[in-house]
Amino acid sequence: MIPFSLVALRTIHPDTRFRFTSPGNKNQALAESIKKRGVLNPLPVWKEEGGLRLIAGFSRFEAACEAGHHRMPVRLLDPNLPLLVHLLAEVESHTLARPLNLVEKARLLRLLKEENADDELLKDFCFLLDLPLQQRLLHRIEAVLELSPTVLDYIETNSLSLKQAEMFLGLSQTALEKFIALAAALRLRPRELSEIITLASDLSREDRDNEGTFLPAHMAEIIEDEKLSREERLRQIKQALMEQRFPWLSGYRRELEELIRALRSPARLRLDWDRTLEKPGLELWLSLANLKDVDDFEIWLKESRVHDILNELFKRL
Amino acid sequence: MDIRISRIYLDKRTVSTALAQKILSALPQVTPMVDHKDTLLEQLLAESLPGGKRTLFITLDDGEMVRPCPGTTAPYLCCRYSVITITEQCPMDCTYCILQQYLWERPVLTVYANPERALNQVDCLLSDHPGRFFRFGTGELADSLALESLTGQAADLIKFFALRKNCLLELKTKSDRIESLLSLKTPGNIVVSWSLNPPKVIRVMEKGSATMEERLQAARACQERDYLLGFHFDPLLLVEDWENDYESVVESLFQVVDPARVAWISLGALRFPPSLWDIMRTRFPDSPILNGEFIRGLDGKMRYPRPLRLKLFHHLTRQIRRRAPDILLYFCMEPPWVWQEVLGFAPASNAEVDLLFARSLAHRFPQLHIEPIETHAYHQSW
Repeated sequence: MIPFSLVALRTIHPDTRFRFTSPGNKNQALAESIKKRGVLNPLPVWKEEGGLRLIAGFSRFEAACEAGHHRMPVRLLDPNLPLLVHLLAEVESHTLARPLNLVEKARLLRLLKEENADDELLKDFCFLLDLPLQQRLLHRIEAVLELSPTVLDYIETNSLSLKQAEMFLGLSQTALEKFIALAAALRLRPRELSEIITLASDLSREDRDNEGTFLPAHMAEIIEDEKLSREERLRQIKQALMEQRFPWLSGYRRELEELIRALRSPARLRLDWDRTLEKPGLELWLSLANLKDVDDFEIWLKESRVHDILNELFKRL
Repeated sequence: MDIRISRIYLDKRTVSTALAQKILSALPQVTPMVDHKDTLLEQLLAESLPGGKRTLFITLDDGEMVRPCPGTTAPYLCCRYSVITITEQCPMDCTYCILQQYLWERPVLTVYANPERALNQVDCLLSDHPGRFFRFGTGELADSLALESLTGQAADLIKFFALRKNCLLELKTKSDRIESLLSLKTPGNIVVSWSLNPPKVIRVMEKGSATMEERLQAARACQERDYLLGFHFDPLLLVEDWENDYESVVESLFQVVDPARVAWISLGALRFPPSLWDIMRTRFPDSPILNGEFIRGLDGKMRYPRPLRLKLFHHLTRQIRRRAPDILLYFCMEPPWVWQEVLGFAPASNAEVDLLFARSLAHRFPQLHIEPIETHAYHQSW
């Protein structure tokens, strides 16, 4: 059994720098349990002049405060071991329950830096957090904490990887807010949001404060149009951005589409081309149900109008 | 072009090698950090790309130092160049440089102090494939001449290749570091080549490289010393007013060099793996390249759409052919249908591209003494 003491709540001082999970992530079941039975699992505290420093178990502590408890069980940490070693043990027990998300890892890395963790300890933490021991990468993870709370919330909620979260770095606050609002309105998955941010950011490279304004002007209408499915609204927004970002490609594709439409091909025939434009020529799908379909196809193919348009298409493709 | 080296990491095993001693005596102001290779490699992970361009890592390569150029996958055609890796990374800082991504984990100037291992591999390759003409080069993972004033590696290679038959060495550069080449007795099988772009592209996107004027003057000096020359319009960039800009470059080129001394000219439009995009965005956020329209090619690389590449190639080909109708022109990483449309013929395979070189060189430069070409030898891999 772990030795513990019951102490007065006021003697415990939470050191929130050690809190790596988000305060917003309240566990209702835990709160209910603490309200009924009090804290069962003693809180790890570090004894120091003037009281006890709480380095983990913040949710339990807050739930106990809210429930109006005055005393709670604590477990005194061994003063012969460095504080960060104790933190390592706490993190380990967390990771047994669930892997930490990017923001939580970033908070831990920042704390380790503030506490001047040595290389050995950093190595142990990296192992536990499943991170390679590469300074550049660790700095990039920590940089995520510079983002606003709304964005951090999006990163945590959607369990974004570092690569995904980096789409937010370097964007202005205004732009970030617009993108997060868009993500919420259309329930965008990270990959979808990333595509939109990339397009909008490319469009606004020369005007760094205005990424958000490069979203199509009629975006609000599209978002609010309840007649359209989520997918259709997303498609329209992306298309508008693509046309702004890739004017040549969009124009070229539009011309090809117009030419194909002008062919007025039989219903059972579909013409297409390699959308990357890398493979030359046209692709043709033809389904024939009977001899009449064959005759119709033959007649259509012999029209001089069709011949001219196909010739034009081959020139372009 | 000045090479500024502020740190040297020295693999313990190389301390007594001639190359390490030569470099250290050329840089007396830098105290090397000497340790085991693995320990140094761990430290090198912390190097940033800009810092890495001032950091020299002298070590030994224990693996394959001569490899076929990785090129790209079908349907794009490659020329089957053979790459000798005795140096990696480059002190210049080109916006579009693939090494930013390719050597991301070790962004330092790496010099292998055991070039004899590479040379043995060259000899093995030549003796294993007697009917085939080989083009070797050091300019794939590095600039062939950028570190020449420190290492003298190119001069050593020239002396080595002077005694070899049925092969040539291409030294590909964006520098004008040709001093060591000019003092040598010139063998006939050395091609010194430059990559060319309009001056405004060089100024903005090829940081630390020689100007076009300097490159052309260096080419002229090499020509006067009887070196063969090569030129690479690669990467071709769709910058504003590109038609006039590239026309001026071609014009300047042939004002300075004699087409009869030019072994080949390559054309390659900008292409890069998608992951380089983020690196360029971060490192060169104002680069005009980022305004470009790219598609993801059939090999997964980002490229200009084919109709735009064709415009570039048609224009350059016309300009070059007008001034030098006999020069071997080839494309780097283009599909056969692009060759067909621009040049009027398409090699059936990479081996055919390789053969094209051998035949053109044998015809135009008899002094290379290329042995009778055995077609079947080109269809074997190595």
